Amino acid sequence: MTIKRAVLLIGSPKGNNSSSASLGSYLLSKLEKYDIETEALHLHSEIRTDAKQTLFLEKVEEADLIILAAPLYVDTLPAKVIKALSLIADQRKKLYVDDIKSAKNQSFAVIVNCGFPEAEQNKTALKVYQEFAREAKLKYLGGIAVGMGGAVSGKAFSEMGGMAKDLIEGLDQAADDIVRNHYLSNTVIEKTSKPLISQKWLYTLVGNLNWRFQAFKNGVYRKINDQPYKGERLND
Amino acid sequence: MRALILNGEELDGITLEQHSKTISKELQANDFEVEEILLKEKEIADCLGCFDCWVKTPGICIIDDYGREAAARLINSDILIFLTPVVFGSYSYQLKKALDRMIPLISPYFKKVKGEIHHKKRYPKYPSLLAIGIIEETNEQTSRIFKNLVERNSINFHSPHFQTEVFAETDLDYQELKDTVNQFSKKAGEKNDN
Repeated sequence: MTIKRAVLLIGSPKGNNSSSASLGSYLLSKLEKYDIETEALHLHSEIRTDAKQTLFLEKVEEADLIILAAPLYVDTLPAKVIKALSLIADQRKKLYVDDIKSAKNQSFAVIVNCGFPEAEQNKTALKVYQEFAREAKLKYLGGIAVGMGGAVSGKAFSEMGGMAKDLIEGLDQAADDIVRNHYLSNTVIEKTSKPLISQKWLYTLVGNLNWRFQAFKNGVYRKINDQPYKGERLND
Repeated sequence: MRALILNGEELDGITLEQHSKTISKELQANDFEVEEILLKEKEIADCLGCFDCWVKTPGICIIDDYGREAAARLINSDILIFLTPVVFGSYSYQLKKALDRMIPLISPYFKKVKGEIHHKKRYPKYPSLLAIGIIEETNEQTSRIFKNLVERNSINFHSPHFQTEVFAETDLDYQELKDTVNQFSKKAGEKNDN
């Protein structure tokens, strides 16, 4: 199967100001160099109403390749991503039952990023995405797991300097694998999962300082450890 | 002792009413005061990923809807039950929309747990977690993913004790479900006493 059209589904509610958008858009820009037609869709706005959902499914159906870029929320997919993928899977299952000839061969690849330093914390989510691909009868091309998402946070890779070197090389290789409709190579998995900051303690130190700084800026520095619901007795 | 059932039944699909009633009765028999939230009936918006619940209104989500109340109820429970259809090995949208809004219950600060970085506790005490996943037919693969997910959640939600069971709808044995709840409530009670 030749990939002519790719759709990027961005699963972060933060839109273009998110690590998911940075990572997904970079990969999409690389695919464009192979003359692949691309489109980026923000899931949070695309499936808001029934009418929008129908349009969304049509756009997904037109693509040969679906790339999903999403954050890790509570160890798995954000709620909205579960909803969007359920819509896609239901549509594909229905198509396979009603009219198998019109069911198109489509491939699926995913990029998950988490705020924790360890890319391995995305493992469970990757298994969930693989299971989605199986149930939706999509060819699974593999998953890219990125840790330290907080260091990307909506930035273009050009702004990140040497820190993003391995990640960029991994995504470049991923584009090369995807365009041939191949499973992501080990080089992709290894390079993209490397920590953006080599010292874990430094990432957590900067992260902790950043929370304090933001709380200070918002005038709630002394309240950051508050327990507003402690001992609260709730009635129906 | 208080128990909270988060019922993640979807708008369409498997009905979990009977499962919830069975769990509730068994918990009551074990002296728990039980509350159930049927999430599909509650207005809970999707998490915005803004982290304002950590740095602007610490401990409280900026979205003023039922998500706040669900969080308050959860943290004041001794045991927490996730009851959900298994979707791709994960939770239903209905359950997940609520779980994504539980971030205010933990601290933004990082700490190391078994070599991995996680977030610190905000509260001194968190509920033990029992996750009951319902699938249409037995599927080892999705059950394994589900169990793995709950184990990960138990770390991030600081559950003193956790247990996961997946039941196939086609040959569901309610006695087995009762036994699971019974066994869990006893173990969770012991953990809370420690």
